[in-house]
Amino acid sequence: MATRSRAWYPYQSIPRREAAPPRLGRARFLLVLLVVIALGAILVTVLAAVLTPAQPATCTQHCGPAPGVPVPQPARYHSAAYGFEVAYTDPWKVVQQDSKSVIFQTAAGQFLVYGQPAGKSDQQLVQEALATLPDTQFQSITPATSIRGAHVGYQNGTGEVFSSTFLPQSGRAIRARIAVVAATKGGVSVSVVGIDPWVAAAPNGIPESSQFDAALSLFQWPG
Amino acid sequence: MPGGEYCGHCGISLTAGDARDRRHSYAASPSESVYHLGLATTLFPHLAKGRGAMFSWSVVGGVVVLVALVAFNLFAAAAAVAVLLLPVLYLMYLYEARVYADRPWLVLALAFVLPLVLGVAVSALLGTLISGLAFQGERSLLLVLELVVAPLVTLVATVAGPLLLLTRPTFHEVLDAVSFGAVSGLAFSLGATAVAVWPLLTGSVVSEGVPAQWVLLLLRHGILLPLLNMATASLLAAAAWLFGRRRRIRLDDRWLWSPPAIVAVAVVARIAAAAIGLVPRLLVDVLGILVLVSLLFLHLRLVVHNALLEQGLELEIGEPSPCPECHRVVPVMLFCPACGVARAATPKPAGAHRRPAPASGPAGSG
Repeated sequence: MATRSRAWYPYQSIPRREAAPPRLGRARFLLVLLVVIALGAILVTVLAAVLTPAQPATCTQHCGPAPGVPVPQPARYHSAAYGFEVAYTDPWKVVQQDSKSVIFQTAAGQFLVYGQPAGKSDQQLVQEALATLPDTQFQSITPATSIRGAHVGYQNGTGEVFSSTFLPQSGRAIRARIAVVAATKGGVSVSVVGIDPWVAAAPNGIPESSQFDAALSLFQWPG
Repeated sequence: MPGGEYCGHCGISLTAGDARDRRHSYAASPSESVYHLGLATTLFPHLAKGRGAMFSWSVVGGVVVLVALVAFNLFAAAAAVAVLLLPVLYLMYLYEARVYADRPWLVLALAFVLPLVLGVAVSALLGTLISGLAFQGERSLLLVLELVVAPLVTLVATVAGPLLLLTRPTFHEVLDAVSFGAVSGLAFSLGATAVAVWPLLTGSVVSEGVPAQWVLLLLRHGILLPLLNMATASLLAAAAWLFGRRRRIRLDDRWLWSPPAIVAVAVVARIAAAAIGLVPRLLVDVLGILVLVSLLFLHLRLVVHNALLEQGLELEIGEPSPCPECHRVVPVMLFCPACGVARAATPKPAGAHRRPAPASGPAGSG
């Protein structure tokens, strides 16, 4: 095998600009890059601002479900661990449940209920409920408004509505509203999370707020 | 045969202990090891030495600008920077290195516009379906769509254009395949991400949100997933290029970069990335995809390195001309005899094909 050092082959070396003349000089490269990126950023920002759909007026009266609709007999989820019950009707359906918690698929989103032994403040329960949401899907969760008179089965608690973006890895973004209500009665604490796509005209931006409220009202504590 | 440290015909090192082992010297950039994850030499292999730094610093600068815009809650502008940065840089690279040879519009149409349109369509249809199911907590169908359908659709959509281009005799080099795969992956991501994040951008110019999460979100959708698509599409295009070619020189570990292995790596990587997306923490997701992308690019370097060594062409010794890599005036051959760079990994000359179409050599020669 031939073994040679570079000194054996003194190929003439020439300046870099002669050996590989660039098509895009440094200044031209930066100019093109900056102009294209800056124009793109400005264009997207302007389009995003201009193409924002007009905000409809917020509903102030008769915002609930239409009266006169017959109420079907509700089905019930019973928590074997804590004894509470959650009533639900079509089109809600249970997509996941165990002895402590249940997740309903609603017409537009999700409704999660889970219990635990008492011992934490309602505010802590709200924060804990938020932390259980996967931030690979729910990002930028920020407080939007507090829920006055928040209750779970007529037991007063704490409630707050949060805004969030929902963007799974292969999916398309959805602006979401997350309502979290927590209450404690006896030795049981219950946290409720209602998730809906944000609709500007709906109360608190939650189109199913009346259905969520109905489920909270029909909630039955153990005993 | 002109003298030097490398064989100008087959590129093997004439000074290494094992003549066939030149993994210390990447064929597209001999000053780096094959296993060195150089940003410029991995993403922009045609660039001459010294030119790559400008491109890689632009990537770093773009990420810094993205973070700065997010810090000022300018999320729409930050998203635009995130989704445009890599595709724009890659188009400039195609121009700088004349990768498109004498068919710029054909390359633009098949390797950029076609995957861009497919990205928009896939995101608008499949992305909307996946988000709807995920938002309502539906699991079984969602898992099938996220772990099987979306990765496979993405792979097919990103490699369709490059495969059409590789049927043209003009594009007969392995780095043509790799570059077209890369730009196709980036264009697909540009279309898909633009559609995916658009609903978040409408609203006031200064938006609300958690900046740290926006940074992670934009890094995932604007930088890392496009790099993932770029790597997998490049690998698939390289596998198509390698398919059916005879071995020209005997190289070790050929199974690692055989077409079936390359396809398997690309498919598994896409599915693994989708599975990582199911973990609940965004930071873990971003770090997981970062690791995955790094491994993919290492594999891509191995594939490119060995494919360049095997690129079977007629033995020609041309007139002396400057090597764009080491700047020495050497006889034009497949490899620079002085620094060992594959001439296929240097900018293409204007108005002419670099070399005649490949001829399959006998196995084991070299």
